Amino acid sequence: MKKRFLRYHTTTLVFVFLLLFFVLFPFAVMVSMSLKAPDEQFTSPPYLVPKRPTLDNYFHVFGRGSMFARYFLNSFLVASLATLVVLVVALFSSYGYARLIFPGRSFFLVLILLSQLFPLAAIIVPLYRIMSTTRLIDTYVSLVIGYLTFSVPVGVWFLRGFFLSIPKELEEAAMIDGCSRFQAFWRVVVPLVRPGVGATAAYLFFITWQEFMFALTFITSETKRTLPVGIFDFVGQYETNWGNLMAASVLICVPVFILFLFVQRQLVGGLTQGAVKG
Amino acid sequence: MKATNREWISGYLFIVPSLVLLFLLVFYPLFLTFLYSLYDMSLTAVRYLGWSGYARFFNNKMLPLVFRNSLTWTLIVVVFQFLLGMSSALLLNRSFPGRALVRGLVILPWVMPGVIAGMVWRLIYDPQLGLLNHYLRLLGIISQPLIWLSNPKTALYAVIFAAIWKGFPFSTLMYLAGLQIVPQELYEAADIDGAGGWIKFRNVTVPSMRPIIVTTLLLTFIWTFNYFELVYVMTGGGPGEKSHIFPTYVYDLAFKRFRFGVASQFAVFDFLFLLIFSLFYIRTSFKREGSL
Amino acid sequence: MRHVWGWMVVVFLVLGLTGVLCAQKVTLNVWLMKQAEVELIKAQEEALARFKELYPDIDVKFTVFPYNEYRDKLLVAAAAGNPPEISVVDQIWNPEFSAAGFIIPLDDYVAQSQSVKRENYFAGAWDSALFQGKLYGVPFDVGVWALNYYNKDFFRKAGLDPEKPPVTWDEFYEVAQKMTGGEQWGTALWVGKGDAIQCITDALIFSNGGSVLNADFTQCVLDQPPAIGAMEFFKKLQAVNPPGEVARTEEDSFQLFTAGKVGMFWYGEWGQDTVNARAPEMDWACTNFPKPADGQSIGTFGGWNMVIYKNAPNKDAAWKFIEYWTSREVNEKVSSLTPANIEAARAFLQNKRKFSDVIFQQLTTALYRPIFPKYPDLAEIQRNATTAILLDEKTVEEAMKDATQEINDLLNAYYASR
Repeated sequence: MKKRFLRYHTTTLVFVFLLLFFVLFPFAVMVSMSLKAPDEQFTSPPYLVPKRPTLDNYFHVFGRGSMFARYFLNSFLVASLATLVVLVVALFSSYGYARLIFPGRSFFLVLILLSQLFPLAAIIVPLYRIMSTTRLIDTYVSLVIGYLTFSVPVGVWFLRGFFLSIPKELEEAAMIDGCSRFQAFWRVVVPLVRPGVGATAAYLFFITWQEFMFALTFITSETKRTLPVGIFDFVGQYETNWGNLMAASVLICVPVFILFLFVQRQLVGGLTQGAVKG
Repeated sequence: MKATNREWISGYLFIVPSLVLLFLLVFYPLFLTFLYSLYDMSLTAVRYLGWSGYARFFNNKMLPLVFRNSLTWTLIVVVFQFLLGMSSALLLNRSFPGRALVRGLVILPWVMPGVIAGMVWRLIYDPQLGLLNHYLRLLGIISQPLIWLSNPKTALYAVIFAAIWKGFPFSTLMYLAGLQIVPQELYEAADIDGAGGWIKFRNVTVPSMRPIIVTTLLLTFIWTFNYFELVYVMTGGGPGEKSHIFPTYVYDLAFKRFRFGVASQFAVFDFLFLLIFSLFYIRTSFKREGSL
Repeated sequence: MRHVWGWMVVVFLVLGLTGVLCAQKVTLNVWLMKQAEVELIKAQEEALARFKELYPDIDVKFTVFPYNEYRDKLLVAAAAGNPPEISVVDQIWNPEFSAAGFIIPLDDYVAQSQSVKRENYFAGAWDSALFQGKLYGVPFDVGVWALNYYNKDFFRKAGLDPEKPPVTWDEFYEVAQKMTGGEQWGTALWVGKGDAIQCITDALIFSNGGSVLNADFTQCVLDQPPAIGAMEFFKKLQAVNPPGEVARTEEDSFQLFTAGKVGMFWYGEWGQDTVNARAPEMDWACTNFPKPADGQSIGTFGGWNMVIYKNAPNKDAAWKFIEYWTSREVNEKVSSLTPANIEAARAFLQNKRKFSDVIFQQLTTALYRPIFPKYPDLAEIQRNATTAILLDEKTVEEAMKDATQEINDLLNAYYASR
């Protein structure tokens, strides 16, 4: 018994270690390069741990002439705006899909599902031309609108799952007591679904924060670029400034990690609910 | 009657904003893409082609290549994300010290922005000075450095590996949650019957998790098929255009060569393929079980 | 009385407004390539401030782009009708923009200018902006492919004199052979994905007395003996270079040099900063690009020209800016590559580069790449030929003959459609 117990546990730990190595190795490379001065970055043979670690790369990322702080703000602004708009729209829509019966409900639901399956590449050309003609190109608005295309279906889908998990009796009781449907919705159900809203908001923020294709295509001026595009500032015509690039990468990853740690449990709940109730 | 009518109206009122947005931002542009695909459109000229444009499209030399790449890319990534996701879920379902921390760490690749992941993997794959080749040579697995990202034979597979790394935590999350739902009694019954680990997995775990597995596979298939960032950053579709998948090739056609008509044709093909695939997939799963 | 006051207020307002409108500023949008150095950014700001003192009515706004999307953004903006007023364009895009009518000829401005004259700029850079007899750009900064960077330790190890680097092709090959052994090689070849490899192969062809196209850019001459001889030398070097040359980029290859794996490497003068940063301990030097025994050492020009767009509302203001920015004092301080202005270049090279006489020499003799609006397609044909030669898919003669055929087709198709 004891032997099997020991073997079970050692194999578990060994595999856990292997898994962690697989998962964390690229992060190690990223951090390692970010702490290396140029003369240690490309050596023969290469090595992981810098002999003379330096924070220079990080200083350059924030230094004069670097737009990094600006890009960070832009990403934050666009992601927050898009998330907010989607939440408002989705809050109402998901409730409708979850609770109310009306003709065509399944049809519209399937439409929502289908628009999740959608390649951005399929609509980027017309969207670009629309933005161009309406002179919206190179504005924050164009990006937020672009992000709505893929976040609205996601937001609706998620929140619907959360709404479905709340027992109907609560609103029904409220409505018997004389509330209108809207009042029951707003006063009784919405407060209950707040954790779900939080998780959805986090997921939406997370996917809009890292979006690249629209940001690359719609935005031209430096002052409006977002982080994923801004990272290419470090890729020169003949050479790439890998040290700065990796330092910037570390700085971009950190907020998302922190955000993720906070909402981890809710997010997982939301994803699985969405999947099961699909 | 009156009550139901009111419910209908409330229903529509609630969902109208989302529908309006969807039609304006998704279905209308999609319609436009179909429209553009019938034209020869560049920065300076527009010429109507009609359906004959599609005749040229199906003769396009890049179509079979891009399609084959997209399928290879998606299928391998999905299969391995499933295998890795399921095994790590089973692993993380066991109890061991520090489990909560490990579960948190395992999600990190998924959370890392795609562009950054692409850059980091480029570093790792650097032929002369990257760590992958270095470690492989130390372990004696290869003697000459492999030019991962610049060799047409290995480029796509190199990105595939990075994609597996990046995306598998999502599957882990889903399957881990799914494992919690499997009723304990079924395991106990199986134990009474003397079933071993693998039998239990096959006959108890997998069937109970069927809905989650089906959904996760579909989601990862769609997301991977449409995934732009990694291929774009790591190979740009090269070398010599050999590693293009639909999203990157549509982007290349539209915004590097300004051939909007052809780009739209590829986009239409991409969309229709996914649509047909998803409908087919959902129908088969639906048929098999009666409910998703 | 009240009416009079009221009217006076109105009159003053109107006068004030007209005054404001008259003093309306002209805004110049200038698109540039990304600069990374901090001192450069400071120098740019100082230069801009001085410009503002000289011309208070002109407001200049810079937008800076990373290289990989710059051309696409320019083309899209120009085609959509809202390009900047001024931008820098890579020398090899100048014909394309000229032919498409996006930018204007500048000959009239040049005729009236005191400072912008052909003799003040490197001839190869100036002439790269010519298209069908007119000048479409003013050179801003230049680079030359290539200098021969070499690692003196490799020389010592091979028993050679580190102060006597190879001068001719044969010497280069012999030295490279002696350096090759174990995990080290004489030099590194590369093809990569971009246009840059043509700079190397063109330089070899130029040095051998050949050319890519004929004098009026209507016919390809890559199947002539000079070009073939050049490519044969290139192919010969494959034996003394680390494997994987086709996939390698110039950045990868230069890293091999700085990491001490290859002893000599052909690269532009801007690489000096990189060597200093990546290999501060290395004992290195630069010498002229090797030449064939009976030829000259001729490099290929790279660089950026400033152009004015057709849609610019105030072209005179734009010209004033270009005159200022490419003038001797300013050009020296604000360019990251070598200035195109000859005197500015002299000062720049003295201050910022070692072996400035070698670099200066190369800049005066270097030639520019073919003037052809579809140059990127031409470059791709050349690159495919180079790849086929290195992969042994074709012999040098076959590859060059096929490339010449394809390029002639390309040229004919283009000129026929004009």
